[in-house]
Amino acid sequence: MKSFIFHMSVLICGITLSLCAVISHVHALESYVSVDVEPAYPAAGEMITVSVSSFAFDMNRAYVTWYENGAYRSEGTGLNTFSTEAGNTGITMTISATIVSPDNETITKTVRFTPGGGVDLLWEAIDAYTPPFYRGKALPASQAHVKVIAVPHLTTGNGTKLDADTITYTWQRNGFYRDTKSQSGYGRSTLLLMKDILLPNETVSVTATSPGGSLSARESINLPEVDPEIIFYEEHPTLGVRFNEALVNGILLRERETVIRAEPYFFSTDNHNRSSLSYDWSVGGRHVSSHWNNPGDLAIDVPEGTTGNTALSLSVTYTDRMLQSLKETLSITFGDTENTFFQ
Amino acid sequence: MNSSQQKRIFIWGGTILLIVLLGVGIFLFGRGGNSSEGVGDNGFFGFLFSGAEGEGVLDSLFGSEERDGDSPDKTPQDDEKQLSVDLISQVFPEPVSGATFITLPQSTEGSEEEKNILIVRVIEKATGNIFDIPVDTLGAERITNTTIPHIHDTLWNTDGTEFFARTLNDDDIIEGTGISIFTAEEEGGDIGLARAEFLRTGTLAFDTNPTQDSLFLLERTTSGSRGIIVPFSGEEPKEAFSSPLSEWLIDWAENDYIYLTTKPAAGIPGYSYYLSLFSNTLNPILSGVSGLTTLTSPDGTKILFSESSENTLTLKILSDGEETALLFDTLPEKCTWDAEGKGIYCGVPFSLPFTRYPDTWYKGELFFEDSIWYYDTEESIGFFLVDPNMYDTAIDLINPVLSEDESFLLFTNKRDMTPWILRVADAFETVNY
Repeated sequence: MKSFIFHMSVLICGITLSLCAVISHVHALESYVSVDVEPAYPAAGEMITVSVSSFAFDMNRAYVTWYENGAYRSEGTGLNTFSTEAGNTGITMTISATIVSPDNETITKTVRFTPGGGVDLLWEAIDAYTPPFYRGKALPASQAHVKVIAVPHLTTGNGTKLDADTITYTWQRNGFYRDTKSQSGYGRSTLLLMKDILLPNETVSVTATSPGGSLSARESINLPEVDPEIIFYEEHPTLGVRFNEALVNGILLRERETVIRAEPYFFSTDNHNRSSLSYDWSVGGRHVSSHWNNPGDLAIDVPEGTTGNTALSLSVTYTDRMLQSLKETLSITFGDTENTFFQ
Repeated sequence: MNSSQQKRIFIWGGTILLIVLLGVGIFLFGRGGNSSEGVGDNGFFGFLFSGAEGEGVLDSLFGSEERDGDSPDKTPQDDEKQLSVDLISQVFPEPVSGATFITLPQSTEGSEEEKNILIVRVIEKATGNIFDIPVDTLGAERITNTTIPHIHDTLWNTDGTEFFARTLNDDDIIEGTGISIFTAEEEGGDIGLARAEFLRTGTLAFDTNPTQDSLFLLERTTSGSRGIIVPFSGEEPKEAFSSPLSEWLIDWAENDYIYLTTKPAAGIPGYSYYLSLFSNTLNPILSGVSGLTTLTSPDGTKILFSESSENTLTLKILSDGEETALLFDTLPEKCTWDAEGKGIYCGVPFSLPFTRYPDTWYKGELFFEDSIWYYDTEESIGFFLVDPNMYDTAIDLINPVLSEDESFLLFTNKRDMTPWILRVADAFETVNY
């Protein structure tokens, strides 16, 4: 009897150990199979691709069966990717892959995700100068200050759009979190930064996450860097500055006095007369003084009977920004010179 | 009469008959080109086989092929008739700060009856004086002599009696002023005047609602911007929008929805949203479109937008979630929708130089040379209306406005900021559509 009990115990232990070994082997295999979802934070209607891979066995020889929300979709040897369209925002999707390895071991991997809508990243170069009525975007020069805003469109399963102030934002700059940690967090939808002098093109990304963490969206943008520009315009005595026509081909001065306005596009200042910019005007190589109150304006007096050509040049420098310095020239023709280009 | 005599008579008779028939034929053939006298353009044989006037027999049997729009490289010389009227006219010789259509009753000679006449009302840029110009006579009449210097742009109320003008103050801050026009009759004098009603500071962008009784003003704040609705009637303004950003372009296309688009730059992703005035929520329409500028149809179902990158410009329409490229490329701000939202009138550059759009044009570094087109967005057909070169004029069209009956298109030539009109009905008729 004792012998029977002993043998039975050994058998049960053996079976148990074998089962444990098999189970632990499968678990080990499962841990050797990874699942990736691309994009990581899909928006509603966006095409998503789920892929399985393993370094423990050759996935190209494995037999994979795919299920979407429990429903069979496709199967085949080496079928290690599956693509489908993300469902509605706030509705959780389940994608499963049942994998039979070349050694006939079966592993099931499942991913769940909830399309969270999207998040837009808008930005402005807040100290980049443009003329007051300019319809275009102010672009950042080196060391410009930029404000980046996340505009989330996270929507729950019942269609409720989450308030932007209740969302947690995790910012990254050029792939790093450390510089933006202090500006990340609950309701922190704004990121302020100064363009890096050594990195002309920077990347900013944000992950917006709902209060429970069930919804997420991620977006990334490139922040460009431009060279500032000086563009000349005529300041007409009665019409004002003629912003509709830049003086790109020079100017023919017929009036006795003409005022030239220089607009320092994209220099870091919010007003062209700010003391941060220094203007240095010269005509025909000789330094001339600009308007005492408007250093961007230069009045040119043409003595009666004067004809000929000369060059006007202007250097604009922002002393605190070593790469924001520029010299531009403008060709000037005096009087009714014949055969001029500037008629 | 013997058989020989009968034979001779028959030969002579037949010869005479043949000669007569041949003579009639030659006579009619010689007149064949004059369709007004009853013979079609097909000549003698055409006359014999013609159906309806001007149609050949094949056309009368099978119908003529319908016109299906123009290709963009078509020139007006291809099919324009001799012009009896100028299709486009400069309505005022000086630069203007704004222009609109109004209708005013006018008594007719020898009759007590009054009829409404269509007038272009403009603000002279140099003086701020207001002039009325009837479209039929183009004779300008000064309405006010109040001096308002350096107005940059304006928006008008529905009957042209009030406008909102943007100017710069001495600190280069944009100021917006609501101004009422009082006629000479109202003032009891020889000439009317313009009177400031209210002042707003820092008006970054603005638009009127479709009924032109309210303004939406985007104003700079310390944290970004805010949008306020200001009725022309003088009612209390109310805030409808706030944003940590300030670079928005405004299009109040529908009374209950305001469309906001980020300011564009070539190669920079742009975003467009609509602001619901019911819920004060901002909802996305277009995301990440490079160099995006937009123009929404009056019913909000279609959005005309341009995309620019790598020195190219493409004009598209978004409708029912589908994007369709048009057969010509221009910027949406050079277009206006017709009242039904069926089609657009556009200034279309003959050529697009290789440059960054819209930046270069916004900075005034280049002028376009436009022709004017109508594009039927439902049939996807474009109609060439006029080439200003026919009138020895180069036009860079901005600020297009259609008259209420859509018989005139008012626009400004960006080259010299003078106002012009296109006689739309005549243009369609002239090019025989």
